[in-house]
Amino acid sequence: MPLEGERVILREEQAGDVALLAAMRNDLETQAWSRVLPPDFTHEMYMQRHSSREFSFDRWDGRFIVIDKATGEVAGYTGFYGVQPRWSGIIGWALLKEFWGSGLAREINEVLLEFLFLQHGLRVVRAYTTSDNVRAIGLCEKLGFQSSGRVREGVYRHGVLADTVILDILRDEFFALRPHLTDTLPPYE
Amino acid sequence: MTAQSLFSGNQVHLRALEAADAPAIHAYLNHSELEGRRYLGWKLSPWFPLRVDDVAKAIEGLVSREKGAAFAVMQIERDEVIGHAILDWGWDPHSPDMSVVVSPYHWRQGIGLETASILLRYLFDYTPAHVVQGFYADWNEAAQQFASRLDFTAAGRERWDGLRDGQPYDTIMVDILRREWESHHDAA
Repeated sequence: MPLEGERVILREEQAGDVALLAAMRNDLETQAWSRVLPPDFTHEMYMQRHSSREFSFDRWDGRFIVIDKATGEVAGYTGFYGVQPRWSGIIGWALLKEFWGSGLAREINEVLLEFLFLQHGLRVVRAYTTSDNVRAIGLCEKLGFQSSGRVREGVYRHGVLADTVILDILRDEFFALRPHLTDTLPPYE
Repeated sequence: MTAQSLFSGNQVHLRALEAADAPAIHAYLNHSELEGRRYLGWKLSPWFPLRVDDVAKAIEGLVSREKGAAFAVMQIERDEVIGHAILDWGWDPHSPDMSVVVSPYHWRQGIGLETASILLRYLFDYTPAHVVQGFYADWNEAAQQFASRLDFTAAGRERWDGLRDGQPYDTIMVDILRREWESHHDAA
């Protein structure tokens, strides 16, 4: 069963998605969070990336394709990585430009956060962005993240020198903002 | 007269870290003062008692990277390994991070400051580094003083980066911009 919210489904990546993934990587606005890559990724490269994923029960990352339930269309991709089991993880997402401002990003992250806090039992989830990405920072703040760090002038792209912004949300902060959910893990403080 | 190497100071010189350094590094890395602050790659446990093989594997991982550098800190007087230092620029040489560890048997002699100064000079004068980053646990007061003496500025924290003494701790991030380093360097 895929992860699901009211408006989105997060399902596994399939071979048929590689064209979209390559196209998003070749769009300078959706391709990477903090650097500009040559926009020449091919379908074959992405097929290779897709095929090289190996089976394992010992996995601490996840990659998902975002489906807009209203239209059934693929809206982008999301995932988590860098998981320290039962402790911390990092989330990221990218939407096709036609879905920017649609509210889907907020719901994607709600679904991911719920999965990471309730299923993985994480204590903290982080997100990294850049100071010029006010849309991402605003979204994270709406979700309950705090801006906890700002490495000065750590990123250069599109002719702009920007800060790296580190945002995080602690487990108790996540549950405090979502009273319909109950935390049964004992707290540390 | 031979020109002084870029990686030499008054007390130490830095050479490439080698697999053969594992026993020397193991000899100080298990010191209780270094628990939680070993800085020899993220795969090495910060807390467990270490085997020489654990250290050798960590060194192997570090020296095989293409996007960073690993150094043995050599005491010039005795030609002995007394610490290690790591540079990591990932995909972006614009913003590398740096870590320095000195054997507790050689603390309070200015070894760490001299090592870090050598590496900052290398990064700012010989690479495209625009900002250099560092990080340490919030309980690590020695690291905080060390960063401050090198004119690093607090950039923020990653909250709850780990557990120590039954309580979560944060990792503090610090940075120094090229222009700040140049200004302090010129004034010195």
